[in-house]
Amino acid sequence: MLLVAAVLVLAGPALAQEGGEAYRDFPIVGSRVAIWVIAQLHLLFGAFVLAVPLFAVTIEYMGMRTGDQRYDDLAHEFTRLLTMAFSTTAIFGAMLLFMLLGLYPKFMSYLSSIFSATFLPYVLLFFGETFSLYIYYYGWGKLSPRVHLSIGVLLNVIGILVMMVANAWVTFMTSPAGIDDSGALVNVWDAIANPTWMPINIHRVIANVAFGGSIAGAYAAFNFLTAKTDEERAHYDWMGYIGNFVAIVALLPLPFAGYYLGREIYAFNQQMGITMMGGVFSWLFIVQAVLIGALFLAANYYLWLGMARIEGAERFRPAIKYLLILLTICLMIWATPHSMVASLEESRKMGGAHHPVLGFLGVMSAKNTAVNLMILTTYISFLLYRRGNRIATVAWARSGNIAQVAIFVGAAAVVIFLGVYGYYVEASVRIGFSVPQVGAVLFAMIAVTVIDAFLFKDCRETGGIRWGEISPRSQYALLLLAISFTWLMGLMGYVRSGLRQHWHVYGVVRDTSADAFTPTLGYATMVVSVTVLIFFAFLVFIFWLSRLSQKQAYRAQS
Amino acid sequence: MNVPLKIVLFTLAVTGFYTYVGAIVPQMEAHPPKSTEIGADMGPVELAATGKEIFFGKGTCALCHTIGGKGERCPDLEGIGRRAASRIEGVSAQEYLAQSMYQPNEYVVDGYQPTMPNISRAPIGLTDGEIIAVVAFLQNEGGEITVTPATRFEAAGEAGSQPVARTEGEGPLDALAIIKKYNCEACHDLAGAERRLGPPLHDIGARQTRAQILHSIVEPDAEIAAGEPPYTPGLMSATLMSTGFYDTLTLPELTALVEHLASLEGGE
Amino acid sequence: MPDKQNGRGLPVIAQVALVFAGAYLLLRFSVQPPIPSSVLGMYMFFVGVSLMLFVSSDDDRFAEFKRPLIQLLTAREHKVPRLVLGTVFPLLVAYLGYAGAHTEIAPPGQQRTVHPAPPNEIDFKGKRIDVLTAENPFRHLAEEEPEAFREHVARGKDVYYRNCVFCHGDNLEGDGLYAHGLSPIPANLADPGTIAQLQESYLFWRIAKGGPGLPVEGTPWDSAMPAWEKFLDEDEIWEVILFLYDFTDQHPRSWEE
Repeated sequence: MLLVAAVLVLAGPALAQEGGEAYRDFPIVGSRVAIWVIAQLHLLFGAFVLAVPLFAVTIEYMGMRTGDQRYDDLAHEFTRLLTMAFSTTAIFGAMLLFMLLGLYPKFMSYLSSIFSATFLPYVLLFFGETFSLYIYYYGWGKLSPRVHLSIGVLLNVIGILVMMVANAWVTFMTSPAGIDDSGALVNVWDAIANPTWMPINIHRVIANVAFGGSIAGAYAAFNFLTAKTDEERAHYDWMGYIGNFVAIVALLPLPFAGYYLGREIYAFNQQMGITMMGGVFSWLFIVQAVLIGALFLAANYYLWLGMARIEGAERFRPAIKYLLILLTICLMIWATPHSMVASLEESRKMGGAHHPVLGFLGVMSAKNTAVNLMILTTYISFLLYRRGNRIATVAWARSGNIAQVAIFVGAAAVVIFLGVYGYYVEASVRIGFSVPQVGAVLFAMIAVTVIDAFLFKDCRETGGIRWGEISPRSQYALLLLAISFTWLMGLMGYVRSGLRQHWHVYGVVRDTSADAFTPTLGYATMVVSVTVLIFFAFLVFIFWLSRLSQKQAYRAQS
Repeated sequence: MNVPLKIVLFTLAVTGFYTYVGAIVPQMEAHPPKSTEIGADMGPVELAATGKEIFFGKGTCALCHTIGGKGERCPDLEGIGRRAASRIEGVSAQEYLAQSMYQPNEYVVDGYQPTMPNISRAPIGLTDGEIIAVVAFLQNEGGEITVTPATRFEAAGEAGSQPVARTEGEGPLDALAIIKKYNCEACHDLAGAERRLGPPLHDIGARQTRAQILHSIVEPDAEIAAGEPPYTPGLMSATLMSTGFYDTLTLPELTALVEHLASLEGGE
Repeated sequence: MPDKQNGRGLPVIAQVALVFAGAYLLLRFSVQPPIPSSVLGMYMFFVGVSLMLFVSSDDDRFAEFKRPLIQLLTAREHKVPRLVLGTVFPLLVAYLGYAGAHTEIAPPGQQRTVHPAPPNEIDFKGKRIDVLTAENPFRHLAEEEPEAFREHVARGKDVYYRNCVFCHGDNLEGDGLYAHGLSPIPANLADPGTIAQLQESYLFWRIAKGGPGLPVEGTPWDSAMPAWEKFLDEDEIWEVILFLYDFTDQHPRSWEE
């Protein structure tokens, strides 16, 4: 299978050049949707295949550090999913390549003329990834832990390199570089390191970690809900907690990485930036706000429900109410559109589509403030959860707590002050405010974590965590997290690709096919949903397969 | 209820909800801009109208040329249709106009510098048909439209634009002569901080090293100066390429130019 | 688990209903002019979801919340209310279905971009004007030659009261004589959310090209504003812009100092 892919990659250009046509048609759904769905599936599985080793190696390392066998087992369990998912990724990759060559021959021949130098390294890296993956999986418990861990790290490094090569192709389409006026190649490295390449690399690696964590959480949730014994429930409850933890930690910096990417797009081409934020795609970000809202609510909700299984956490229950109110208000602000849909009657009262009061909530100042406060709130939920069964015994416990509260209040005050002050200054100054806002939040999270680490160094525990005794509703929150993440990736993939509008390679190769127009958002979300459902169907199949292999091993043992 | 079934329903419900959200926001389709295709059946009036669109749009001609203005950077084109036939002996109006687009430096109006790039090539890249339309538009400015969609210009066949010829016996140019010959100041303000097509260079010596300056001349697109509105990547290299800057400049001349620029440090 | 709510004696389900209703009343009546129903609906959706999350974040509370509902649906003694519910609920659904299908004759809800992205440049009577950078040629007079500046403002005032006042009103509040015959109604230029958010060159574009010049995402023609380039010359437009800012005591937005 891999060989087929490799041969294809190398033979691709030759194949593509034979046909004289620019486009061929895919039956029923059309070429664009066909490529769209297959590429998205390939990306989702690719993300999964990249995320799981990141996740597994981290967990394995934690197991080595703490000496807790559970971590090692968890990492192993996940790697088992990998081998199957890996070949699925390759199948979709090969399908994508076949279809691109068949359906978009002219465009592909251009792309190969630019990137042919990267094809061989890609194939070699791909082999490297395959080999290290199999050594990593089959060497589990057989190699020395240190060697095994280093192979895991190697697997990740190669995996990320593979992704970076593929990212070069994709980002080149958005922000071509290294070519002359007629589109001919001048410098391959410039074409690879085009303006949006690094931002996408960073964004994707972080998002992959979050995605991997959320899929791990969903896997645990599924197993928890279908578990027959308390032991299994305890195991999967714990696994779900770890998955959620990883997902949330990676989720928090994601908006900042996205911001960086957005800035680079603006810098590369302002027209593209305006298309993204103010033009055809502006409503997409309202949909995104709903999804991010769902992610934040689900993550917090999971932590709150989780407190029920911690002895001693009851004392923090009353705080939930206030955290929830804060989250809801921030969410409402975040989802408030700048231009509203209003009936004739309503817009008359408002004096246009611009609402004199809510209009203030529709702009960047308000939204930055809201998202920063949401991040802080989620962090507080997490902090309370961690403290559930602990009581600090150090002498300075009281002043330490006061300091933490002061830091939170201070950070929130900075965020809100700058948010409000932003309305009174010029736009050019206001844009600069987002940096200190983010800085305050990051500082607060780091400082509070450090204080917390010392505060609870030798703490008294009021009770244990009763793993497995969590409400099933929490597991649905985990499932929601995974579905939302996957769906969000589909949506963001659409906007990244759609930004090019009627270009295959922005400003260089024009899309002259019948599908050159940008479809409506409703149509796009439909395609995204179908893709997500297909992905989950495949995922369930893989999970089922992995369970099957486990069962056989169990019988052989007994 | 059976748990796996519940999970499936939950998944469907969540995906369905997101699809619903996507469907209730306003729906817009964005269609690609109509490419100005020159139909074979276009009459002179239609051609001229299309040409006008190109002149002010894709062709970016109006960036430098005015129609009824002072013509600071490049000649004003009011009434060009009237003058075109008498510019060059034996060259018809339409052929002259075509030549000034395909080979802009072949004939340069008195008092102007050869700064115009060949607009049939990137980054502007007008097609032959589009150039016919622009010619029609220009002929319509005080003259009679003689081109049809079927017109084939002689100038189009000759490869690209001609470099600025090096005068016989001309010694190495000094920096000021180079600046004058290649009309750097059409795009760069060397005396003040005015933003033209390119960034002002009156204080370049204070901002950049000689190496950086040299790099910016030799490879103008490697780094585009920041600023709003953004400068156009590719414009400088295309212009310099078409004027033969890179083909004819000698190393001592280049060095002199860099030295001169490095000495510009703003101030009075 | 002892809970504060129990002490107050109000059943959880009633509390939820109260908070929901309270939030609705607050959002519906505290903000003037009223929040458009599309946005209000979204807000109430978030409130509803949050309430459900709150109720279900504690097992005891959730159980208490569900108890009356389950009782209503199962207990023997609630036969009559159940019967009532069994008839009222389908009727309600039927009514909603009917109301959804039977709409009043009214123009559909409008989606309109407040400040649509302008084109990079426009062709004003054959002259190219860069919408991103063009500056008001008279603006600099404000400090250099205040008297000449006042003169231009006065001329702008003249232009305004000859042409614009009929729709935009005596005080520039968008309530002129003809305003109520238009949809959408003319912009309230005295509102700090309108012209103060924009550059003068943007105003120039909107005045010169009017409704017909709007881009697709502004939905073309979704403005009754005429294309004033047919009636005013360039200087007049710049002057009237001076007047708009002067009269409302606002300043145009600038990107760089």
